[in-house]
Amino acid sequence: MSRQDVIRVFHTSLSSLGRRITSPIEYTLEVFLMIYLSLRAAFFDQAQGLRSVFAVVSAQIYFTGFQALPLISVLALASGSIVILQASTNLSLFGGASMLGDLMVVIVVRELAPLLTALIVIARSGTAVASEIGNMRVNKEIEALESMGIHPLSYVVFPRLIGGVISVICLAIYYVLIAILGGYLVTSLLHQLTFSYYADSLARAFSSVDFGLFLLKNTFGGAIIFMISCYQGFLVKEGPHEVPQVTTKAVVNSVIYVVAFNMIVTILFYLGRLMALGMV
Amino acid sequence: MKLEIQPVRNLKFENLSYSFEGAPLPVFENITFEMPQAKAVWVRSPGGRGKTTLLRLMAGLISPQNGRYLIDGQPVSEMSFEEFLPFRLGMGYSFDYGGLLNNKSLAENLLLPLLYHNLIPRPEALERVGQVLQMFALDQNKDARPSAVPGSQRKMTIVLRAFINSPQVVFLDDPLTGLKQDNVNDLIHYVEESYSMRGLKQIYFTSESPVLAKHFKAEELLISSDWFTTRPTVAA
Repeated sequence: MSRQDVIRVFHTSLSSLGRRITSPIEYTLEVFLMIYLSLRAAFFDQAQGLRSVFAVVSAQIYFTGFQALPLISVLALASGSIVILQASTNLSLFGGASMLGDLMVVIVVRELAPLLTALIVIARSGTAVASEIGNMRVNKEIEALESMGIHPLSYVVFPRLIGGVISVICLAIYYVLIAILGGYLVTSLLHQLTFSYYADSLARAFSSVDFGLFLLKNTFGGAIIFMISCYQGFLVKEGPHEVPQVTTKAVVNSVIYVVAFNMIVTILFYLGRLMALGMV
Repeated sequence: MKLEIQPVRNLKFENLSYSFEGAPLPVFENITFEMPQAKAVWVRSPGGRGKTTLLRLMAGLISPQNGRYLIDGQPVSEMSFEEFLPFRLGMGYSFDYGGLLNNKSLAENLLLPLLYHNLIPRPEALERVGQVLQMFALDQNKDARPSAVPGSQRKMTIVLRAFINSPQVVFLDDPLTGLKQDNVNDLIHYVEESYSMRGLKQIYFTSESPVLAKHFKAEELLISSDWFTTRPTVAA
């Protein structure tokens, strides 16, 4: 291999690496631009405004929130029971049974509820939103809205984003309630655990920081899912064959972004704690 | 907020070029042309040579890559969505296929442009839509969604939605395809009424059939990638 070939290979690899770094940044900026435009059209454009979008918001809450309740119930019940059962059995072996509440808060409230709720919403509603908007593009519905003077970002994206975020927060709260209460009921059938002891342990463990963390993860997690799903739907240009492609991409990107966001929040939270303790 | 609808007149292209992404040749290249003032304009060209693209450009649904599209001397491509809105509300557009909102019924599709911008009070909008649905025998399926009705009813609804706002200029992309003869006659009658009673000034239409052109004594607009020209309707 000559020196020029080596330089050419190096140059190609470097530009490929550069593209790999810049394309996620470009993608993120494009998603944020779409959201900025939809919020601007909804809040600041007098001609568009908030009317006619409440019906879409309520429909989104019904599909994303209400219809997901059975699936969330099963997952919350299973995960809550497993955590309580495992924790109460194993902690008592080491004399740490009083830590049960702390463990529930750390695992269920801070981590499992935001993550599993997001994954269910991505699977059910993220796919639905991406394919619905993709099909609207194919069927010229987006262009039809424009021809009627209706801003598609205000009419299509904004209500789905708002309805989606509200749904995710409500579903995550429901998840925590079912995991904590249902999990206790299932566990109490197999294992001796008094409710007063369990409730007391939980009350001592739960703090306002946990509430803040829970709200932060679910609000932004929900926003990420619906921002990405709407954006992917709008990428459809030519025909129906693109709809499954953008839907798959919506799922993959939503999972990556939501998991990354949750991990970053958790890492920053524990880093903050360690710094407060003077350990870092 | 009450929107002020701007008059849509004097439509003009200045050195306008348009091409589809990735296409080897432009659809239009360097076109300078003032649209005819005739009350009906029949847009004609060999198949796939830009009839739909021309209507979409004129309705402001797409922007040219080069040159300008002017309405009454004002450049459309330099306007934001909000700035173009007063002109857009004076226009109606009917798609060759698709275009109806699939999650809304036929009646809701017709009501949407009237109610979204509060152009007229709700009872008046309901009455207007009710009359139109009845006139075109769509009232039995008014609560059905587009996918649940025959194609001719879908087509009729999309054409009627272009007129429901009482616009000054209407762009009709292949409006007769798929319509029954009765519907065609009713549509001609409705367009005549729109001219005389609802402030309609012009229609631009594409069609394989000369029926509309004959009836409205349309001026033909012959288009190619680098020239436009007009003539009285020969086919008529």
